[in-house]
Amino acid sequence: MKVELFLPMTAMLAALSILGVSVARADDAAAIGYRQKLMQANGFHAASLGAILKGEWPYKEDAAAHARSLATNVMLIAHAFKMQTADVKTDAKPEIWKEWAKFEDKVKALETETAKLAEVAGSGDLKAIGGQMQKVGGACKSCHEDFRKPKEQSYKN
Amino acid sequence: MVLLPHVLRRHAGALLIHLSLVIAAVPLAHAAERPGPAETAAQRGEYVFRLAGGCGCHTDYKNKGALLAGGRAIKTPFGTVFGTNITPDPETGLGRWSEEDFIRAMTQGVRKDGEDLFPVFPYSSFTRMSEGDLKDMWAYLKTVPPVRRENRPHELLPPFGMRAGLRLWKSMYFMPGPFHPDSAQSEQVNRGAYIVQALGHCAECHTPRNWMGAPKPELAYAGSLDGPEGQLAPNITPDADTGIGKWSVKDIAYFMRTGSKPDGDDAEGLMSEMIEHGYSRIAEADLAAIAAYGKTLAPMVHKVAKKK
Repeated sequence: MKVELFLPMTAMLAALSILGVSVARADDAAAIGYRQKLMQANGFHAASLGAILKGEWPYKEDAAAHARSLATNVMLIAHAFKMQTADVKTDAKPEIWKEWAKFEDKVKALETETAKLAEVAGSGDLKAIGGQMQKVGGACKSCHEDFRKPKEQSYKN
Repeated sequence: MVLLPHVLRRHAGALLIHLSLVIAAVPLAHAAERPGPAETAAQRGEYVFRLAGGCGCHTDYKNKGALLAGGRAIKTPFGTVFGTNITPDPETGLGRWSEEDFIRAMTQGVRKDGEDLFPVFPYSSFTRMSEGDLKDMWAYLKTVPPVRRENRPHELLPPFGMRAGLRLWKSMYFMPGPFHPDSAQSEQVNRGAYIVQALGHCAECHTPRNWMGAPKPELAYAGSLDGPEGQLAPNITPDADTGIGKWSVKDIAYFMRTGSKPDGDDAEGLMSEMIEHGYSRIAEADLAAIAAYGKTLAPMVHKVAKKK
């Protein structure tokens, strides 16, 4: 930013922080958009693995790449949700930031399960892949149950 | 160690009975097959119990309540009801009920003492169950550990709390009677229809209700904002835009078993309970039957959303 604006901006931000107003260092819409797209990307890879198990996607060998992608994506989740946004047009519950340690634990559990999935997905053993996908799904659900608004509270409905 | 064979011989009979009871009571680790006539009534009954979704309304999971011992608060638009104790405890559960009492409750919505039951208990669906399934389910329920836990009185808003009003409600909205297969449909579709209509009681949540709490048949399975516990139940008719018309038969069956949707998202709330305690443990053939039947439902254009 322009040098001459630096001090006034800092003063204003400091004043707002003292007043308890949450000051996001990025635009709320951008933060919300980023994490929604990340979750959609996760959904794509999870859905693709499901499609392979259902026999709807014929290239079973793609499972390894999908699982690796998923395991890589989930490493972005903590940062994606780091910046608190106002509770407007988002399904993220404010509890994420009130209970950040718990949120982080859920993310760690997901990282563990997706890492295991990435290991087993290259084996071609659909039964083993399916079994580990259940654990991954359980980890996704566990976080959603605590930190994502249920459908009846979603701004989309 | 030398003593062991002698001890075992003495107690072999009791041991065998004990073991067989344990095996019968323990759920099948991976229920890939539908139990046949060779299994015991209790084993078949446990499978029927799974087809009904595991009767989670009767277990207070949130407060780590004992299995089927009741106490779970179920919010409805008419107030809160508390799931009852259906363990075989003689004082606080169904221990003194006969098989006839149980069948009457399930198919007529009438308690052992003759009082009508609130239709939060889905006897409008269970009334369609076959006699064989009812008897098997009763046999299974008798094997559940008895738990002493008094039922908590419901907290329903007047006038809905008055049992006298239930006679009127039933005369208007309750249609007792067994399931009738559709001769125009395949055996698989009819099996799916029976599971959905009689056991899964899907319509109880997924069909929206009128102001008197009765399902609106013209919107069958079209979704409701006012599900139990205030949960949204989606439109599960095959409409492409507002329902699940884009889901394949495999997608439906896979979802019922795993809770994973074709877009990668997961089932929530009560539905995920039904899957966890019920549909994740039933035969693939029955999952396929449910899906096949689901595809025959009339597609309803019904977007389940809050009125803005």
